[in-house]
Amino acid sequence: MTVKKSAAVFYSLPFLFILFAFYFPLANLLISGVSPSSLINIFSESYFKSVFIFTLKQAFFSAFFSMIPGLTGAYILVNFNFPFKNIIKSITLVPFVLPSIIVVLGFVLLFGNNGLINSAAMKLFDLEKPPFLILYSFKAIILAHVFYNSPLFIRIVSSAWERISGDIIEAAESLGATKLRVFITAVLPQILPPVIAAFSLIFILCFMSFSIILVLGGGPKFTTLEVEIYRLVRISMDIRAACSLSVLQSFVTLSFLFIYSFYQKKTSMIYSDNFRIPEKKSSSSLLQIILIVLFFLFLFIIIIMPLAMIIFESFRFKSSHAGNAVFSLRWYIKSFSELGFRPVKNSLILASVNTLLTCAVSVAALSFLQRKKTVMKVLIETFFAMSLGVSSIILSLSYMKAVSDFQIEIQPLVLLSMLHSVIFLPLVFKSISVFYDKIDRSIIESAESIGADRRRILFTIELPLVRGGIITGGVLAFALSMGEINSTLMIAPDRFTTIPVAIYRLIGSYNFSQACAMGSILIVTCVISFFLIDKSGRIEL
Amino acid sequence: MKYLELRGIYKHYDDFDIVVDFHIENGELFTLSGPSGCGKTTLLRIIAGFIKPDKGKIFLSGKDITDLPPRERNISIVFQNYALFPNRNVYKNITYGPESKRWDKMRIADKAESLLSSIRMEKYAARNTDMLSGGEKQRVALARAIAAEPEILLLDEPLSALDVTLRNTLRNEIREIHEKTGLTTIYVTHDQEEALSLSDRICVMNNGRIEQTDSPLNLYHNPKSSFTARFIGESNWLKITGISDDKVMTEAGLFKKPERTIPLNEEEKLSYIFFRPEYCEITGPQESGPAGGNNNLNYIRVKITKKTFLGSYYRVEAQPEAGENIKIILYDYFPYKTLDKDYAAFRIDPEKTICIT
Repeated sequence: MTVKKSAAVFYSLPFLFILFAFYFPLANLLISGVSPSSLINIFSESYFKSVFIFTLKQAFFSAFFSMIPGLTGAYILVNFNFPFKNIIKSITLVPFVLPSIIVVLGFVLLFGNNGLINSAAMKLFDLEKPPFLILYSFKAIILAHVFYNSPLFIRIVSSAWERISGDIIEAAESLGATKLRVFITAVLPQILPPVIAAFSLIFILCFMSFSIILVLGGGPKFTTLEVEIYRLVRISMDIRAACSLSVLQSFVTLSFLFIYSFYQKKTSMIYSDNFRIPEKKSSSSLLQIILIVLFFLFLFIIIIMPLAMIIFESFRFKSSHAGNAVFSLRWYIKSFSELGFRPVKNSLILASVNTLLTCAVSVAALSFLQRKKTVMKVLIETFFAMSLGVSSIILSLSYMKAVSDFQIEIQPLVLLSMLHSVIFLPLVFKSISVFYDKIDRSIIESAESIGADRRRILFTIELPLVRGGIITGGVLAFALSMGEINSTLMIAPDRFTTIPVAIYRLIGSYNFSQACAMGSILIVTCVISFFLIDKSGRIEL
Repeated sequence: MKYLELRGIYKHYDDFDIVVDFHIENGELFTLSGPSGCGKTTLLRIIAGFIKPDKGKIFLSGKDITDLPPRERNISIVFQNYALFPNRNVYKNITYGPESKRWDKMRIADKAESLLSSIRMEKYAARNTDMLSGGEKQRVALARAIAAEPEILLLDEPLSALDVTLRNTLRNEIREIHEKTGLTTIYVTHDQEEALSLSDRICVMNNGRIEQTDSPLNLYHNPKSSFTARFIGESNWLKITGISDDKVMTEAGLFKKPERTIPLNEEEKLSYIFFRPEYCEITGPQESGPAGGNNNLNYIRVKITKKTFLGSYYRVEAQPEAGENIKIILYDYFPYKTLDKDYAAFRIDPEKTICIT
């Protein structure tokens, strides 16, 4: 094959993939699954209406309450100087790679009726019953969402806030503005876009939140569109209603995705030519120290403690209710003897295939985009990022429908691999595109002018330059895929298990110790991924 | 009258410290110059109030302002990268200071309009700042800084992000505005040409210390330290190989001992004869000219290695019999055809040489 032909094949692969794996099943769902009358039916049914309103409500409150610690944390990170600041900054990244099922498990261990907080309170105040009945309530959902998402808020807002040039603030001060006026006129207008961006991103994530609602909501009273679609498919077998709800949900999430990307664009334009870090007062006032300590404590409770507890529990064995706990590998041995190596093997295969596919598709697409004009580039980028606004449950539904409509014979593992790749492609794409954007066009052009062909340029120039992005994206794809539960629960047959699904079933049967053993395996993967990402690159949201 | 006075200012940093004492008079355009890292910007920020000195006091019109925060000092600053508020248009940027000081609306509007016209940007009032060119941005930043009628204007390398032509235009505008308003101005630049052309007085800083504060003319012709001599303008340094009561032997020839001597504050322990490129006159081709002898002090014989015709003058680089190349600028070149030859002899004005030792 000539170079030109092989390049054409190479560059068309990502488009074929996304068309076949994303747009085709989705179009099928829209065309054959939804009709105007079925949509009207949905809106006229009061149950679906209440589910819709509840979904909006919990997403709004989750985003709103994430904003409070989020803004405070960002303020502290940007304006105060204190030890371990860089470590703290990195820690806010942990939730990116933390599977939601781990959050659920940690939350149960912390706030459950037999959880750490309740048993400590019972011992301390000599109570008969657990004093805080948090689980299976609206409170639990909001609290878990805040835990999961406020680090995201801190991350997005603080990284933008940091980029405000010290010169602007000092110019305002030297022009006689008071501290308040400096904040209102010089800081606030610039951090508003990232605040809105973070708010809408968290709104979308909570709107599509699945396992937290499924486990911590605990029933039809607290159900969201995402969980309702799952129930309609897996329990009531009402595909038609599920499809209609999917349209409704995607409409909301895509709208917010546009708000998000609009403000995210504005955020990236924050004044930054030649910027200088503002002079930071070293934090010595009592109030500041208290704030910093509270901030440390907050991050410790929401990130470190749940993880530490899961690992701790996984090694703890009590022979009788009153007996002393001892260190034991019992839960690991039990898990592997009961479940075999299947869940771990399945998860590893899924994660590996997902990593390879998403990275390859992203690199091919980005290498192609590199040569395109801006308008075309934005359009194609949107084309690839679209799946960010469609939830994994809906994507799974579209796959199920396509498989049954066209009577495709396919292994669950293959189907799931494709699904994962579609779900995580936008994130990997973005991680790598950050690096691609930094490549100076003239480098590529000078390589071309001295006679390098496209393949040579790709391997000798582009790939080495975007290496950091590929590592970040690849590790992200691997970690997220390891922890993904939504699509597996949705489309895999009951006998098909992955690590997160196993954890979900173990929680369901109140077998927490074993769930912790499986959870610890997941945590270790996440922690390793986290360090790799933290070292190799940066995550762009 | 001492308008702004820095008395015993000391600021310690890990790698260097700043020790300065100086004053500025009312209405002066005062320049802080020196190589990058010499502490000039830090000093400016101490004056603005963004950095607190470890020791020392700052007085403005006799009032101690050392502990005042920046907003209460009435000293405004223009940054190299403009630092315009991106969320405010040109007009709202300019009115920011007066608004902070709660002027009444009429006065703010009058001020803004007169400033817009003096920077010739009346038509840009409603424009967003990101639609402006670099030069326009810097004009707006300048107008913004002087709108609230500060007592002192600080300019921190305001022109270094602009291209050469624009830099020259804006340099003139800054001088014009200074003359019109009579505003006491402190200008930071590492560009000595800018410093020489703009300033009433220049303070040359090196490594956190003041080397010399003087008029541009004096700094150029009468440097008080070897650092200033090297930093300001082009110069020739001839190594001294021997010295007597009235004569100095250099690698290039024998010189009359200069009346002025300044200390050498560099690592190497050597002595030099110092002179500017334009202190030389050409005396003829080398073969015919007198050179080197006891009766012919201050003559050097050279081989011309490079000559560039620049219209009003010639710039010549030449190799003496020994030692480093010297630079010569000849304004009065018409009578001499001798430059066509490869060799020439020059005489260096003995009144103007300086001994650095």
